[in-house]
Formats: sequence, structure tokens, C-alpha cells
Amino acid sequence: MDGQDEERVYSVSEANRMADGLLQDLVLWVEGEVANYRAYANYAFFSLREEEAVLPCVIFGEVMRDAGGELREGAMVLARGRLGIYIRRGQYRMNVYQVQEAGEGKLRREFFRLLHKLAQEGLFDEALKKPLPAYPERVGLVTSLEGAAVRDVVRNLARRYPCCHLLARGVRVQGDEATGDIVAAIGLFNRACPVDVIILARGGGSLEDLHPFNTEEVVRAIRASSIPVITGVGHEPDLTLADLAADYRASTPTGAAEAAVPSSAEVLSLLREKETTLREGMRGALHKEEKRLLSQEGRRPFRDSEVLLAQAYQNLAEEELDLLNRARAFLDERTNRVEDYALSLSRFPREYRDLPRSVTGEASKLVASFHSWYRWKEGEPAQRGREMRSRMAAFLAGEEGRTRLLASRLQALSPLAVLSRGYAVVSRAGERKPLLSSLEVEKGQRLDVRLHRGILRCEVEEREEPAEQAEDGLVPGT
Amino acid sequence: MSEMTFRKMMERLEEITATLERQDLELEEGLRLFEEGVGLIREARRRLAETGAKVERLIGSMEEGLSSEELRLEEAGEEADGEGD
Repeated sequence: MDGQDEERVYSVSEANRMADGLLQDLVLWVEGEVANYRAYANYAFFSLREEEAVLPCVIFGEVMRDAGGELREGAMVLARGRLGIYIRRGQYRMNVYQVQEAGEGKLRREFFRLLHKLAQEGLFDEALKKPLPAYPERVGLVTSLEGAAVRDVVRNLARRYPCCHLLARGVRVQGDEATGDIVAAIGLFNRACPVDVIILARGGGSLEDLHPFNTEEVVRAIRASSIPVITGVGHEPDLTLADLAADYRASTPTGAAEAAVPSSAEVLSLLREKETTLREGMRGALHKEEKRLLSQEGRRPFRDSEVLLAQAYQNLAEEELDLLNRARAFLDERTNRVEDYALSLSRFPREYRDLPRSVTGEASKLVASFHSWYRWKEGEPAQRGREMRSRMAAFLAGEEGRTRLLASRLQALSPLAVLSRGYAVVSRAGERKPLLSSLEVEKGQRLDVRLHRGILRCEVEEREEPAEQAEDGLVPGT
Repeated sequence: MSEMTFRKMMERLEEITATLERQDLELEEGLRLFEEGVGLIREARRRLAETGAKVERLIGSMEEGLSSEELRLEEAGEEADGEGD
């Protein structure tokens, strides 16, 4: 308003210059559709247009040549310039310094340029991705505290895993300031507020809305984070460079919350499994211990049935030995008696004639009783039984042999055997007592003379007195 | 045991079950591990049964100092309902 004087009359050019001066400071970015583009040697005219408004523009020299490609009829562009008045015509216009392709097309081109560049740098490599914590205690959330995204994350986190602690850092998620906010928030968690995992979330939007998530700064901040970052940006089709850089990409804020924490239900079922494993493991250990105890018990003589049994076997064996010794002594005694009898037989041949048979009978009775005792023994535990069997068999074989030998010796000494050598036994007729002296009979006495084969019935015709010292022994028959 | 993080508890539980599964333990050691494992499971269940996660917003800056306060979302939820995910 400097130089304005209401008392003064201005020329046209002065008025226009004044208006131009007022607009001088307005340097703006303006977005619009290119119309009426007319190019001349060193300048060009065009209009930026939207539905109900038009902004006349002029562009000069270098700038015109640089921006030539963008300034196509109907193209959406961003033009930066100074508003002013063309003095000569009194025409309002914008003097354009810079032209950019506006809207999706430009952003998309920028997106792919950055994608290519950062991918070549290796920022999206799978190898760089950090594993997510299985059971995070503290979860950091970077998002706008207004809107659905934060609510979705909080609701799902609390529902799935109520034992976690969520720390939300509010940021702008749209506009020029958003990139700086997001980068700062990620840095904040890394440097000043340790969490186990960071969720970077935003609701869906146009490519332009999502622009902060497609900036190099955000990509680098995610990559530089030592805390794993999960992105949950927009709806399924939206893919941002932040998603590519993230350690885990969920397609929505809800998905990000689900990826960040385990579900309590799953953890509970895992716990049930672990409980079963524990119980089985314990049962196994108990079983093993039981076996170990049993085997150890086996090594304690006072509790060991094997040892008790062995002791019993030993006692048994001793008893058996005792029994054997007694049996042997019994047999020995019998043998001695048989021998004594045999000796006596030479004196009392008639009375003991049948003795050998009874001795043999005695011996076989003994053998039979041994057999029955042995059969009873057979019922005893096998090992001991087999041992006993062979011992008994050997013993019995020996004893039987001895008995047979004795019997044959008896046989040899039997009076009948003596008769076979040509002696005779003489007794009173009808009696069996052998006569030892002639004084025992009278003349005319009838006698039986037993020969080896057959008996003679005789009568005493004459009797001689025996000599004083009659020899003991058999009297040769007459 | 309550100082232990959930992750540590689960890791320890994993260790215990793996050890018990090997079954080459002395009974005493096995019993000790079993009791510890059962305790961990009980504590883990207790924590999972807690209602309502702690939800806070982080305010302040690194320079001025950070603090946190409870994050309330009811009003934000109402107006944003049905929009976005």
C-alpha cells in the first residue's frame, strides 16, 4: 500500500504496476489442467484450469524448454510461480518458474524411480529382515492417533494378547510433515523408548495420501531401526516402499496387530501341549526311576528274592547232602551187616540161607525209596533239580553196583553154593537145623541129607563119638 | 517368576520340555523341572487371563523428556468408524 494517495490521480500503467506490486510476494504451487498452450520462440502462454476457474500463465526461456514435456494440453501439472499483472494489458497472470507433472502419474513415476534405486542399494533384501519376537512385552505403534488405524491396532492387540503393553506415538500420516514425524517416531523408539516391535500403520488412501510411506527417508528409517518394524498400511492393493523395507508387511493395521503378537488362544493351546509333554516326560522319568529302583533293589541282598532263593537253595543243597550222607551211612551200615551176616552164615548156613535175598530186597527197597525221594526232588526248582538228578543218578548207580556186588558175594558164601562144591547139609528128618555133632543123633535116627541137587533120606546105622577138638565147619557128608 | 518376561518364560518352558523329553534325567532333577514347568504354565495362563492390555500414548520428546499417559480412543473411534481399516 506504500505510495498510495487517495488525493492523487494515477495513470493506467501506474495502477497496473501497483496491483502487480501487491501480488509480488505471492509465490505459490498451483495445481491444474493445462489448457490453451501457445508456444513462441522465447515464451509460452497457457492456462491452468479446474472446473470453474482459470489461471492465465506465462512461462519464459529455459524454464519453458525444461517444462515442455509436461505442458501438454489437458495434462495435470503443478506450477510454481509468482502472481502478477501484465502491465501492458492489465492482465492477471502467473509467471511460472517451475513445472512438474502433478497427481498420480508423477507420483507413480517417482515411486518406481525410488523403488529401483533403493532396491539396487539392497534396502529391500530379504536377508536384512529381522525376525519378529514371538512374545513381545512392549509394542510401539507409530500412527495417527485419530482415525481407524490406531483403533484397529489397539483393539486387536488387546483382544489377542492382553498381557502386552502398547505405546503409541502419534504422528501425522499425510502431508509434507508426515515423513519427518514418522522418521522421528521410529528413531524415538530406538533411542529412548525400547519396545520389542514397532507397528507403522495407516488407513488406506490414494497414492498421494500414502506419499510419506513412499519416501526415501521413511524407508531408510525403517531399515536403520534395530527394532523389527511391521507395516500395516491401507488396504490390500496398496503397496508402499515402507512395506518393502519393513521386516514384516501386513496389508492392514489389523493384520499388523495380528502379526505383532501371538493370539492368547494359540498360546493357551501351546501351553496345554507343553503341559502334556511335561506330564509325559515326568511319567517317563518316574517309570525310569521305578525300573532303576527295582534293579537297585536287586543289588541289596537283604531285600532280594533271588538271594533269598539262592540261600534256600543252598540250605536245600546242604540238607540233601546231609541226606545223602545219611543214606550212605545207612547203606554202609547195611553193607557191614550183610558182611557180618555172610560171615555168620558159615556158622549158621541153614538159618541164613535166604538172607542174600532179603539183603537184596533191603537194598532195592532203599533204592526205591531213593527213587521216590528223587521224584519228589524233581518237583524242586529246575536247576537244583537237574544237579540233584545227576548227583543222585551217579550215587545210586554206584550204590546199586555195590549192592549187586555184595549180593553176589553173599551168593558165593551161601550154603547152597557150598553144596555145589560137593558138601552136604545134614539135618534130622523133617528138620532144617543142620547137625553139627554125631552126638545129636541116635542109631536108627532118620536123617535128611541135602546135596547140591536133591535130598537123600537116610538112617543112622552107626554113630562115632566126635573127637575132643572138633573143628568148626561143615561136616563132609558120609 | 513374575519378573520374567513372557518370552523368557516360554523359552524356559521349551527348554524344560525338551530336557524332560530326553528322559535321561535323575528323578530328583526331573521332578524339579516338572514343578518348574507346571509353575511356568500356571503363571503364563494367569498373565494371558489378564483383561485389558496396557495402552498408552507416548508424549513429549527426547530433548524435553518423554512420558506416557493412558490412550483413550472412544471419541476417535466413534467419528472414524466405518472409514478405512
